Parts: sequence; C-alpha cells; structure tokens
Amino acid sequence: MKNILSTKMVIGIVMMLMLGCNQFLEEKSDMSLATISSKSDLYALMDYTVVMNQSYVAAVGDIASDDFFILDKQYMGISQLSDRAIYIWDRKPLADWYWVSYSRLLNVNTVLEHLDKIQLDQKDRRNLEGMALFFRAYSYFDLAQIYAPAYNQKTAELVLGPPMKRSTDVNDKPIRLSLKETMDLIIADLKLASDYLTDQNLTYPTRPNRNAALGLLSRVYLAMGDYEQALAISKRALESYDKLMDYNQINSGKKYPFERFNPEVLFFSIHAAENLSRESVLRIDTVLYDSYTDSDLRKTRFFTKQADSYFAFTGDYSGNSNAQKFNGITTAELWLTKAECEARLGQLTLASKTIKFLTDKRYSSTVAMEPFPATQDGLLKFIYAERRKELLLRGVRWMDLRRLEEMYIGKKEMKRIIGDKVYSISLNEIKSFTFLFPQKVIEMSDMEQN
Amino acid sequence: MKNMLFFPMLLLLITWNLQVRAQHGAERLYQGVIRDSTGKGIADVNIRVIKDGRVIKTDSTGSYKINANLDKIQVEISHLNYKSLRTVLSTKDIKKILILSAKMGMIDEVLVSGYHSLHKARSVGSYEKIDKVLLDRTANFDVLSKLEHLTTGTYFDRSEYSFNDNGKPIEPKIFMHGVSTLRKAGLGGSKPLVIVDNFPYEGDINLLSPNDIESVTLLKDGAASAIWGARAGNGVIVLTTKKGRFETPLQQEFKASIRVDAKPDLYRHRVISSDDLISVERFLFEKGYFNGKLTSNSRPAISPVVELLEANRKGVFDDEALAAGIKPYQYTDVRDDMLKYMYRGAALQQYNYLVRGGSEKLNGMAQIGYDRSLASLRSDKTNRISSQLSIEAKLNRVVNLSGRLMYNELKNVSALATDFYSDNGYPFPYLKLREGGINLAVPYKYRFSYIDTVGAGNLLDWKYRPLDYIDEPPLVTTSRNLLADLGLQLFLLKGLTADLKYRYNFFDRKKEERYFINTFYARDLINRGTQITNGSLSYNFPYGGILRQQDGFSKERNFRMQLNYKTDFKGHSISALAGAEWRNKDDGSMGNILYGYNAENLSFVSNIDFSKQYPTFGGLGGNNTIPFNSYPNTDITTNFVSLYGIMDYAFQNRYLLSGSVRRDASNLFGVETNNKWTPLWSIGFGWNLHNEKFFKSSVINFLKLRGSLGYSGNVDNSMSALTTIQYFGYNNWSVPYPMARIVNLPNKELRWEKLRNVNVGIEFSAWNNSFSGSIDYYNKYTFDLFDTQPLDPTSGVSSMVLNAANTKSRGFDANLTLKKNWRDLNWAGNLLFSYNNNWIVKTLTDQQSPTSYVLKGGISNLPGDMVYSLYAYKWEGLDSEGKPQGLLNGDKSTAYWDIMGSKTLDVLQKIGSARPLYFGTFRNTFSYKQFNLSATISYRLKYYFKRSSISYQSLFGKYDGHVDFYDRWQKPGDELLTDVPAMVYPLDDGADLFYKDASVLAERGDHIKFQDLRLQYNPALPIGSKIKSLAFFIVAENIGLIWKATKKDINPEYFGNIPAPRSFSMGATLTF
Repeated sequence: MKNILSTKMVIGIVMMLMLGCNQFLEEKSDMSLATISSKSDLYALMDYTVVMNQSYVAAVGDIASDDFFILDKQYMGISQLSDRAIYIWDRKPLADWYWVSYSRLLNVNTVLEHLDKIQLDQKDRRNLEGMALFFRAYSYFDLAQIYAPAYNQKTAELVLGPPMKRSTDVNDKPIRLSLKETMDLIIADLKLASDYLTDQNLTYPTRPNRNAALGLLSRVYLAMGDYEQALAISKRALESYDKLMDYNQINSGKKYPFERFNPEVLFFSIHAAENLSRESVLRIDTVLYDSYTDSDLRKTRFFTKQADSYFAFTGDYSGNSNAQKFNGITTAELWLTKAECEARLGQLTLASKTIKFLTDKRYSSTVAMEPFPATQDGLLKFIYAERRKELLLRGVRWMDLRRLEEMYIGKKEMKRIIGDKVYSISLNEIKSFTFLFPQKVIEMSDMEQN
Repeated sequence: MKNMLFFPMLLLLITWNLQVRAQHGAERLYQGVIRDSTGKGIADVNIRVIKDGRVIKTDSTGSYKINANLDKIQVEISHLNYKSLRTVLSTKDIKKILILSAKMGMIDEVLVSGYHSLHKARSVGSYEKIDKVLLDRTANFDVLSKLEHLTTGTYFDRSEYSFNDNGKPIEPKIFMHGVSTLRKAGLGGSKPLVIVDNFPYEGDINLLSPNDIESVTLLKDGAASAIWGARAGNGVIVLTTKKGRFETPLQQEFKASIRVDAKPDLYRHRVISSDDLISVERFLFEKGYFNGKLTSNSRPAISPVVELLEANRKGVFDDEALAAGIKPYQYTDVRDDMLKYMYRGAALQQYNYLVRGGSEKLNGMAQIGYDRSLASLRSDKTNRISSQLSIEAKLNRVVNLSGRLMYNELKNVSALATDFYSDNGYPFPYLKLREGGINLAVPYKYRFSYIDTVGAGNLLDWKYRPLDYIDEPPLVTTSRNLLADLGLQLFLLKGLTADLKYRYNFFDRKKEERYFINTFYARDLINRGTQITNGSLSYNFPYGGILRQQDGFSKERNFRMQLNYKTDFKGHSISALAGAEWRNKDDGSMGNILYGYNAENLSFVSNIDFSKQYPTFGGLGGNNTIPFNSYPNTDITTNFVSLYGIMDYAFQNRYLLSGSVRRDASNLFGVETNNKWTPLWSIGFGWNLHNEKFFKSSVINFLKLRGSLGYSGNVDNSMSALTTIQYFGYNNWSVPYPMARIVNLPNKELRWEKLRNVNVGIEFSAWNNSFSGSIDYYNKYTFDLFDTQPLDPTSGVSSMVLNAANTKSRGFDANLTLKKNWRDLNWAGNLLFSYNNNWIVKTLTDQQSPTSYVLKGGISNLPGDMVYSLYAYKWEGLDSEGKPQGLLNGDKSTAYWDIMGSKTLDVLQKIGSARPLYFGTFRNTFSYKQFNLSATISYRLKYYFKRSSISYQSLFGKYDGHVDFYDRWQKPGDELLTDVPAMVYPLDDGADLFYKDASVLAERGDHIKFQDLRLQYNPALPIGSKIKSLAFFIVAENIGLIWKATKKDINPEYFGNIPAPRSFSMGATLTF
C-alpha cells in the first residue's frame, strides 16, 4: 500500500513540474541580450545613432568635389591609397565606404520584418514604418550618389543603381535594379514616410520626421531634374516649419559657432570619418572663399585662418571639429530648393522673394544688399552661388556638379595639382562617374565590380 | 620550507614508536573463504602471514585454512587481479568471509555514467576508469592534469603552454577522440563535460581537491556518453567523490605530500649575447633607427645604451666615457637577476584528513584538505581549503536518504610582472633588476632622461621597477564553491526503485586589482593627469590608489527524477531506467572601479566626471578621460529540461544489447529549435564469447566483442536562431532614447553541432588474467560545426558564426596489461597507445588566403585535408643578397606580400600533422614485498611544428635576438651555407613574416620522454597496531627526453618554448 502511495506521489509531482515547463524554457537567457519582442526594441534599433545617423558615404562625393583642396605634404601623409585615389578621381576600389550603410539597412529590414510580428498600436506602427522607410530611402539615395551614375531620364533604365538588400536573411542575395527603378522605390518610400511620420521630434532630429522626409524627397526630385515636384514638396515642407537662424545673432568669436541640433536642422546625420576632411588637412578652395563678400556673415562664421594662410572649415553644424561633417537636411536647403525651382520654372519674382528670405539671415543687416539679377539666367546663377556657399561640405556638391549645366558651375572641368602632376576630370565624365565597390564585396558576393 | 617537512617527520615518528605486542598460545585453526564482489570464490589467492612469512593459497572455491599458535594473526591477502588487503584474523571468527575488490580493468569493475552504474562485463560502451591508486601516483593541484598519462584517446594540447602558468591553476586543454568543435577553448570550445557524481560541474575545476576524488571514468563512445545528450559532444569525464560505506568500521586517513619543482630554465630561450645585442643597437643607432623615438613627444622608453649613444652624439661625453658607460651592460644577462629575484622553484603542499565508516543503517564521511601552491613566479601563490561532509541513511525498507555538503575555497595572489618579462623576449636584456637590496627601475613607457627631470620634483616618482610587483602582487582572486546534494531513493516494488536527486551548487569569484598609490600603474595615471600652472599643481586624475573589483557568481539548481527497474527471468536480464531532469543556472557579474582609493581608511573619490576631457601632462598624448567602469553587468539564465532513458538487456550473459535516448530542451535554443531538436540516441551490442558453449579455451578466460553507434551534441549559449539585440544605454549626443544594436542575424537554419560516434571494441583476458586489455576502433563524424565565416558586407555584417563544417575522425585506442610474478616479485607492464586523425569533410567557404593556413594553431579549410595540418611557405633558399625566397607562380620570388596574399595555395607546402597522430605511455610497475617501483615513459609521434628563428622585427623592436643570428647570411656566397636571412636596414617586415612561416623552419616533433619514476614503501606493521596501513612515496616527474626526432637543440614537447621544469614529490598516507 505504502509503495503504491509513493508511486502516485511521484507521478503527481512529475505532472505538476511538466506544466511549469514551458514558462521555464521561455525565460530570457541573457538580460542584456534580447530577441525583439516590443515596440521599444524596434525604436531602440532606429535610435542606434552609431549607424543610423553616421557614416554616410556622401563624404566620398565631397572629397571628389571642388569645395576644398589639400596641401602636397598633407596629401603625402594620407596613408590609405584608396583615400588618395578618391581625391584625384582614380577609379580604385574604395576602402570601407560601404558596410555601415548596409548595417543601417539591416536595422531597417529588421524593423520592417518585425512590424507584423509584434503587437503595435496604429500610431507606433506608422511611426516606426515611416522611420524605417526614411532611413531606407536616405541610405539608397546616399549610395546611389557614389555607386551609380547621375540620374538622366534617357539612360536611367539602362544603368544600375546601388546593390539592394531587401531582407535580413543572409542567404538572400543582394540585387541591383536599374537606376530608374531604384529612384522610383526611393520616391515611393519617402512618400509613404512623409505620410506616416509626424512633424514632431525636432528637438532631437536624429529621429526621422515628416519635414525630414519631405526635405529629402525634394532633394531627390532635384537630383532627377523634376523641378515641379521638387517645388511642390519643398513648399509643403516649409508650410509647417520654415525657421532660419539669423547669422547676425551668431557669435563669430567662437571657433565653432554652431550648436549640434540647431533650429535649422530637420534631420541630423554625419559623414563617414575621412582623413582628408580633418580640420588640420582640409583647406577651403580659394575661389570659393573669395566668393563670400565681406558683408556675408558666413565668411567669418564658417572659416578660420590657419598657420599656412589658408582657411579651414569650422562652421560645421555638428558643432565641433570632427572629420565627420554634418550632411543632414536643413530648412536653408529647402529655401534654396524652392528658390531654384521657382527660377527654373520662370517664376522670377517668387524666386527672388524666396532667396531673399535666406539672404536676409546670412548677410549683415547693416549693409544694404545689391538688387538680385533680373534675368532668369542671372537669378539662377545667383541662387546656385548661394547654394554652394550655404551647403559646402554637406554632401550635396557632388550631386550638384553632376546635375547642373556648365554655365551654372562656371567651369568645364575640375583640376587637382599634386607636386608637378595635374589631374583633371570633365563635367561630362563626372556625370557617368561611379566609384568601385570595396574589394571584399567583390570577393564575398556574386556581384560584378561597378 | 620548514613546515612542509613537519608532517612527514611526524608520520615517521609514529611508525617507529609503535610497540610490538604479540600473544602466545596453543595452535589454532583459522578458516574462511575469499570472494569477489559478485560472491564467487577466488582461487589462488596468496595469504601471507606477516609474523612468519608463510604463504598459503586458497583452493578453487576460494577457501583457506591456516594453522597458527596465536589468538590473532595479521595477514596480507594478494592476487594479481585484485586489490591487496591487509587484515587481522581472529579465532572469534568461525568462518570468515573476505571480499576482494577488482583492480582496474578487471571484469567485475563497476563503471559509472552519472545516471547509472554497471559492471564492466555487462557494458557495451567504451569506458575508461582510473582508480584512486593511479590518481595518487603523482601530486598535482587539480585532478584533470593527473589524467594525461593514464588514459588513451585523450590529447592534452600544450601548444600554448607558458612556463609562467606553471604552478598556477590552469585549465587544461583536453581533446577526447579528436575534433568535436572548431571553436577555441574558452569560446565554447572543446572542454569536456565534467560530472561530479551525478550532475555537471561547471565551475573552476581547480576548486576541487584531487583528494576528494575516488575515481575518474571517461565516457568515450556513443553508448557511454550519449546519455548526456546535447552536452556530451566533447566527451564526458565523470568524477566520483569519496563517500562512506555501510557496514564498514570507522577508518581515518591522513595524507600529506610536498612537490617541489626546479626553477624554470629561462636560458632555453636562446638569444645572442648582450655584447652582440649592443653591437646591433649601435648599428641601428648609426642608421638613425632611434631618431623617431628620440624626438617623439610621447617620450617612449629608450634603452640605457641608446641614451649613452645619444649623449655621445650630442657631445655630452666622449667616446672613452661612452665605452666605459656601455661596459657594465656588455656582460649582464637580465635572466640571472630574474632567476635570482623573480623566480623560484614552484612548490605544492597538500594535506588531507578523511574519516569514514558506517553501520548497517547509517554511513558517513567527513573530509578536510588544505593545499598551498607557490608558483615559480615569486609573487604568485594559491591556497585552497576543501571540505566535505556526507551521510547516507536507510530510514526503513523503502526509503534511503542521502545528503552531502561540500565547501571549497581558493585564493590566488599574483602579479603582472610577466607583462614586462615573458618567455619570449626580455626588453633590454642587459639590465639588472636589483642591486644592494634595492629594486632597480627599468625603462618602461618613458625615457629616463625625460622622467628624471620633468616636473621639477612636483610629480610622483615615474619609474617602473618590475620587482615591486613581485614584492607586492596586486591581483587577488578568491573563489568559493558551496555544493549541497540531497538524494532520496525509494524501493517501490521488487526490482523497481525511484531516485529523486537535488543539487544546489553555488560559485562566487571575487577579483581585486589593488593598484595602490605606490604602484607604477597608479603613479603613471596620476602623473599623466597632473596640471602645473604657475607652479601650482592640480590633479585631473584622482590622486590616490585605484581599486578594481569584479564579482561573479553562478547559481545552479538541478533536480532529477528517475525510475529504475531490474529483473531477471530464465536467462534474460533487463535493466532499464527513465527519468526527467530540470536544470537552472544563473550567472551574473558586476564590477566597479574606485579612484583615489586609500587602503588605510578605505576612502575614495566619489564625484568623478567620466566625460570630462583633460589634457595629458607635458603633451605626452592627446586628451584623456578617466576610464569608466569597464566591467559589464551580466545576468544570464540557462534552463534545461531533459528526458532520458536507458535500457540494458542481456541474454544468458552472452548477448548484450543496450540503448539510450535523450531529449533536451533549453531556453537557449528558442522555440523553433526545440521543436526541431531530434532526440539523441545510442545503441550498442556486446557478445561475451567466453560464455559460449562452443568457446573452449584454456588460455582465454574472458573475451568480449562490442560495438556501438551514438549521437551527441554541443550547445552554445551565445547562439540563437532569432535576431538578438543588445542595449547600449544612451548615445554621446545626449539624445534621450535608448539604443540597441543587432548582435545576431536571424538564421533559420541554425543547427546545433552534432556528432556521430561509431565504436567497435574488444576486451580480453588471457592466461588467467596475466594478459588483459582492450582495443577500440572509432569513427567519429561531426556535422554542422560552428565557425566564424566572413560574409558579403552587403548583408550588414562582416562575419557570422554559421554551421560551417563537417569533419571526420578516426582513431584507435589500445590499453594492454601484462603481468608476471616470481614469488615475491610482481611485475606489470601497461601500454597505452592512441592513434587519432581528423579530416575536414565539408566547409562553407573553400578559399582563404595562405596567411590563414600558416597561422599557429590554424585549422585547415580544405575538404579532404587534415584538420590540424601544418602549412609553411615553400622555401627556395636565400638569394645572393641573403633574402629568403619563396615560390610564386613557379618561380623563385622575394615578392613576400604577393606570396602571402596569393589567390592560390601553390605557395604553400603541406608539412604534415600539427598534432601527434600517435601518442601514449608505457608504464612498468615492480612490487617486491613492501616496495613498489613504477616508471612511466610517454611518447608523441608523427607531428611537426615550426621552430622559432631570428626575427629582425623582434630583434630591433623587442631586443629578442634569436641565437640563429650568428648563422645569418653576411656576405655573398653565404647563401650556400646557411638558411638564415641577412640583417638589412631598413627592416623588410615582409621577409620576416615570410621566413617565420617558411618550410625550412618545420621540425619533426616526435619524441619519447621519461615521464616519471615513483617508489612506494608500505612498512610492515605490528599485529594489534591501531594503524591499518602506512605508505610513503617519492616521485620524480618530467625527468627528461629519451629520444627526439629533431636534431636541433629544442624541446619538441613544448614546441621550442621553455619546458615545464623537473619536479620531485614525496608524501605519506596513514590509515587507522
């Protein structure tokens, strides 16, 4: 009898423990590691600024552009040969200008794949999807500037866009769509993003918001030469937020006069670190520097004279001397886009009004401005000059060099002189110029070199 | 040293003072029977009457009769196959029954798996048991390092051996039956699963005293180890602890031993003389090699000779003064001082007391041990206290209760002096470390000429004296372990029992780094943070000591329920068990750093701004911040649920069939994997040929054939099939949103490493057990081994751990024993022989650059290739300028970077296996009366390694001038005579890297070694003495190489590194 009792007891205990089993097996293994299970996990991935807001490859375009030069002895001190190559448009495989972008896209794809897997209310779902789509569009557009030719309606279906990785599955091979299809996807993403995102979050513009999405969309249309759309979008963006800082109020005595998240910043992102863009190395193109008039407040707020008598750029919106320059989206860029499009579409009075809104905040209030040119060409030239002076080293000069006509650039070709060697590249060559993928990408994937 | 000798002396005194008391009387008859543990009588047992030396033998039924004219006689009972017994026979016993237990390897030996125990005759698996007698052969700090020369199929990797670890507790790298994982030890690598009695022991094995262990059982094949399922992949080692026994008189045992090692032979690292090194320095100085250092703003350390040369160049003093200044260095070797002040012969003292016994219903055991290890580095020492208490009670016919408490504590004190002086390379080898009782400073981090004068006396002393750390070692680690076992055995029905077992195992490890204000580490950081403005000092780095603390703990809870059933009917015997097990383990750690720490009043600075940037003193570097606590807080929970069953079936003790099955689920795997996780199983058969009617042999008395097939696995805590993320806190832009990074990409196809073991074996015994042994042949396949694979960066990560490779292993283990006796002289020869080789079957990526193949400890990536292959660059001799030449595209070449980065592997030569394919030991044991002498010879055959040679990078940069320097190419024509490249300036680091891994440096590692020699003496004890037995032993280990294949003057066992020193131990065991 006793024996039977104890057998029953054993069976009873086994049953009880079995029921507790599932909970036991689902316990989290490492408290600092987590599988994705809540909306805060997804937000945390989107807020991982180390990859989401840094290391944009537009830096490569800046190095290949004409805003600056470096002295011979500094050039010889650049140890990465592939970095030197960018400066002289030598098509060598790039070093690391690649993987942070795809690491960012991994976060994007992870968030997109989890939207339906976890419980989200409508507001968070729209917000998260909007953020992810913004980052996706921004990353592919950023990559397209470097790894694809300039957009040309006639050839866009024939040339390739940057590699696309559309899922987190490692076994899923990257694909390359035509540049047309790529741009279409970017536009679709940004349209949705501007619909899903709200215009809050401007206190910490590391998070994508509606204005950032519209700002980027107008930049994308501009790159494609679609002035009507670019105008419409820039107007929409400026309707809800158009604030500019008055440079008369900015203290030129400080070496780095601008705050990190200043009121003009719609979206904050910075370049990849690059040896050539260090303050100690990079010197402003003398023609560009001389183009700032004395009443232009940017002349003193952007530049600091160096021991070698040339000027370094110290007016970066990231607020310090970092080699990683600010390349985000600002209200000033939207004003410039709006003015450019209005001028392009023949609305010269509107264009003058628009550009005046910006110049009022950039030129000394004590000196009277000369009247704007009255002809379309003249006004456009003026707007492009302002654009260049406003957006230098922001990752847009390379795009502008590739889309604008010779008359608005003011030269046929770019030149670099190192020692007794002269390197040059014509504007036409720039339009179809693409950089080469890092060697490792070619070794590890099935893709052909660019 | 004095107290070390105390205990042995005491033991000797006790023996000598024993009174011999004998009683006389009429002739008496003593009768009895001697049986084995199965109850069978044993024939031909020698019974020696100690008093008069007569030897009486038992008859075929095991019975004996002895006539003597005493009330009591002391006898020694011995038999070839059984453990000897010394006992007292009394006339009160009418018919005495004595039971002898089998010696190791004998057929009625009992094997344990951690879930059940079984007789060797009934087992179908490959088990290897090492008993107490063998474990006690040598004196070691931990139990696993005793196993090396006692087991087959188990390879102890010593390729990363460093003499500085000697005496310190280290984790041995053990490979059982070859490859089971490709990952490095420590990263979930190939550590076998260690079981203490019934449950895994995952703490530091050094916490366990070898004296706690009764026996060790290795589970080698599928049939033996598959029962441990997903954790058995690397092999299983079962440690059985000492316990009390029912119906045994109270027994006390006292053991003491001392082990002393020779000092490490630093001169084995063969370098050029200080005089010649100084010539090289002068050569480099003239070439301008030091100009960069001499003008650097960071003021790096510069040798005293270069300081003198620089002063001479500046005209501070003339050539004569220079020569006089250099002279003392020319004849100084820093190793003289290192051996004198830094090193000593390591010593290990071990003491252990044990008492155990039991009545019919109750048994118990208590044990306490103390071990003290002084490492060869003078600063380093380890103390261990181990204690155990166990009790078992038969409460009634049904319930049997057992409990055990174990507490161990390990305290280790060590220095970091080896950071500066290691076994390869002594910066500035001509320095002195101590003179006139004062520790001398050596140039370290900064030049003397800078720190001597800078700060005008306002700074703290900025000099580094290596021996200061030896005098006051800053690292203190204390580990504790509390283990509690509770067991309940229920005898439910006939043959049916239930076991309930619970274990709580707690580990705690506290590590303290005590950098007080007098240490260089603290002084340096304070000085670097000092700011002097207009003569007033301010400290950006908190003034005072630095105390770093790290505390880790682990809490394990195990619970097991098991039903056992045993039955015999008509020649069929069945033994089956089924059970379920829960296991929960919590690991955690945390740490902190205290700055401005004052050890006297325990005060420290609390208001530290870790984000504040401050300039480095004197522009020695860029801006600094105070280092933040870098110890991560961790909290890891591991849960396992397992279901298992074993069934053994035997028919007429002739045919054996055995099977096991186990299924594991864990919170590590994720739900999907748990569902996919097929049960691991094994099946085995055995055939006891000697029990067959047709098998009639007068020679062979035991012959068993057995075979098994089994699956086991390896789990890895760090892997998940799902995307995992890790939180980071906040970013440096003060954005108030938490951030997380992706740690692990999703991998739907993630599978756990799986192994398939096929084993066939033969066990035999012939000529009445005079010749016995076992031979096993195994084939092991591994599937889906993890390896870090580079990925296309477009995927978002540059590499990922994937199920990347399959391998196969083949091997052969033989364990043969031959015994012979001539009256009082017994001899036993025991040969252990192992063959093991491993091949890559499949890999994900087939091509890697040649550099990854020549890496030390590298793993081959070519299907069909040996896993541990030694590769080297093809060697084409020196060219006419003394440059080493390789082969590139079929031509001799000095384009080293092209060779090393070659797209094809044509530039490489495969030398052979990097691990011995054949290894083992041969042990001879002689016993004569009270003496027992044994000697072990070990061998490792068929493997290659690359010896070190001159590296000009090391010579120029680290002053490590290999003695091959003397044979270097010096003038055209030398290329015909030597293979040592020329010294060129500027340095060609490509040539250096190429030569280091060139085939000309490959050597055969084969060697035979005289491993140990041991003598034991068991003095005869007088009748009636309270002392039951007494034994003394002395043993010498690492005696020396008998033969080596290489002609070079290097010790292949340690791959040319400084070998483990000879050691000498002695000890005594007293039982009463």
